Amino acid sequence: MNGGMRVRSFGVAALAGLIIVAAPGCLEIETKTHVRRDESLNRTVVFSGDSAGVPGACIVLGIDSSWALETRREERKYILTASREFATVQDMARALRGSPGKSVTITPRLESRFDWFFTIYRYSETWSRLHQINEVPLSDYVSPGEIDMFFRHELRKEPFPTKGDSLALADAEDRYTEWDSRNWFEAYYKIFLKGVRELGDPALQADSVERRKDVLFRSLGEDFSAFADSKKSSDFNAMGAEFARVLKNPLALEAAAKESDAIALLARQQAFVEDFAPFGYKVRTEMPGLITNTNAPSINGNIVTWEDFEGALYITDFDMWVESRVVNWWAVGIAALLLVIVTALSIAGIVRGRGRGRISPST
Amino acid sequence: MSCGQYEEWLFLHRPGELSRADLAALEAHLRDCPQCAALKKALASDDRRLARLRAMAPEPPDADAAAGRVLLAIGGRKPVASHSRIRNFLEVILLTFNQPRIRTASAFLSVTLVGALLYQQFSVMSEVSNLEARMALRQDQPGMIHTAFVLDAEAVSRIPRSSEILEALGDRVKADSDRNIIISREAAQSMQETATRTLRFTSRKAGSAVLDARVIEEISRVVQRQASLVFRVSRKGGAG
Repeated sequence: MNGGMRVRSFGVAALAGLIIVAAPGCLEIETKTHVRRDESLNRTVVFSGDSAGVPGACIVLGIDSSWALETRREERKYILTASREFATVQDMARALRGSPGKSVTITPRLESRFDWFFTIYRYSETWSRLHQINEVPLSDYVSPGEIDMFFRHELRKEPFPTKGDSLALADAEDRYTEWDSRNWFEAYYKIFLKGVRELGDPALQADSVERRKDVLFRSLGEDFSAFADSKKSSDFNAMGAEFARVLKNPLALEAAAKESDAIALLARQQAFVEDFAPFGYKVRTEMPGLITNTNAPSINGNIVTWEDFEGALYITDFDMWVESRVVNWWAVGIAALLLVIVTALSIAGIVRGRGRGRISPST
Repeated sequence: MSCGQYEEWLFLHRPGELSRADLAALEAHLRDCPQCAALKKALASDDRRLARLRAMAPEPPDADAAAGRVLLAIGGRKPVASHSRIRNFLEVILLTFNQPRIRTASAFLSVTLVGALLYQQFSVMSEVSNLEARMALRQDQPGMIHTAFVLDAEAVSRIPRSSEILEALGDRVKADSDRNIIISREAAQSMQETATRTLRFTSRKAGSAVLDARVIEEISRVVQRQASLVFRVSRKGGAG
């Protein structure tokens, strides 16, 4: 665990994944989705806070010129509102599709089902995990029980029953940080090793690099902040230079150059995780009718709200769903009309029949 | 003599107005004429039917229904000059609804409609009630996190003083069907607090709360050092 302190900077963005919830971002982002009975939707994203972060946040959420934008100032807050109408949920899914390393992928789904006197609506929205790097299994470092505890506490706001549980989660955060560092390092290392094999220079052989893998991990951990800054420019030379420095072999630069595209893509993904981290996210959904079920932690009328879920996106996809029922008044009306007619005719029939019955004997 | 004359005699024969001679001639004709014999048979059948009707009560048991059936049967054929078509139609509808089968079907339909509406309404109320209960639980009550450490019985037996420690933990320890010893989270916390570093190691390696024999040995070393503390904490917990 001594190396854990030194590699902390290596996984600084990831550490935020578990502890960011406690540290409010400089920009609050609130998405509001209004689901209508005709299954059309309105999506509004409100950015509130420091104006400097807005452009980056817009990109992260895939807001482009097709959205109607409106800006205003409230006290010291800069507020940007982006809204857009969607005829169907498929249209909205296309707009929120996202792209790896640039914007988060949000998958909305809307289903409606006729159920006699009601129509049942189910809306769900899945925010995809921020990256798909799975070089090291998370379960090697954090147990499923600890992840569950994290979700219960951070997402569902359940308090820790004891101080021991709180300490246990703090310990899990350290191990999560270590896993994140290892995971990203393995991803870069794998690409670099491929470059070394492609280079095929006897002066830089894959075997010798593999022997120094642990040294590479520990050494990169120390200077990773500088590396993290440089990789935003997608400069594969930065990574090559770091590997060359640690391996004391300038050929590492050439090996990195062989896989420049793969390194650039990985760097973009890592940069995206960092771009996503500083903001506080809130998702509101307004449903038609009465809400009958949801996994949201709070409900107000027919609006459900999820917040502080961004930490989960470092580990897994986050699914938000809500179900509501709308009364089919036309069905109720038809049923009522049918009842009235049947009752009236039955009564009238009886009365009429009795009338005839009285006449018939005399005739 | 023609069959027409004999037909007239057949009608006269019924109230007994035919002379003996005519009756003999009629019977002779009936033996030879199948048509007149069939007419006599039909008239006799009508007479029996009329006799049964005369024997019945003046009003049938379901007079309304009977009247309805008769009127429904003749309604379409018998022209009613004074009634409009709509009135006729309504008449037919009313008479239809006067039939017992239709009445039963109407009642069934009404009950089904009302029942379906009430069932769905109660179902929605139940769902909302469950949701509200869940929300209240989240907001008002502290969450319960249930965790249990499952210790292999054989491995535990190798821990020095393990039986003494487990005894102290009392009913918070139980064995499952696989002879594993399950210690509740509360009970295991005493071990967790005294063996934090070891448990960190175990969680990282084991990846879950299921601890293997090797892990137990690690714990046992710590527990051995801290046996008195564990014992004290356990007793305190047990008393609580």
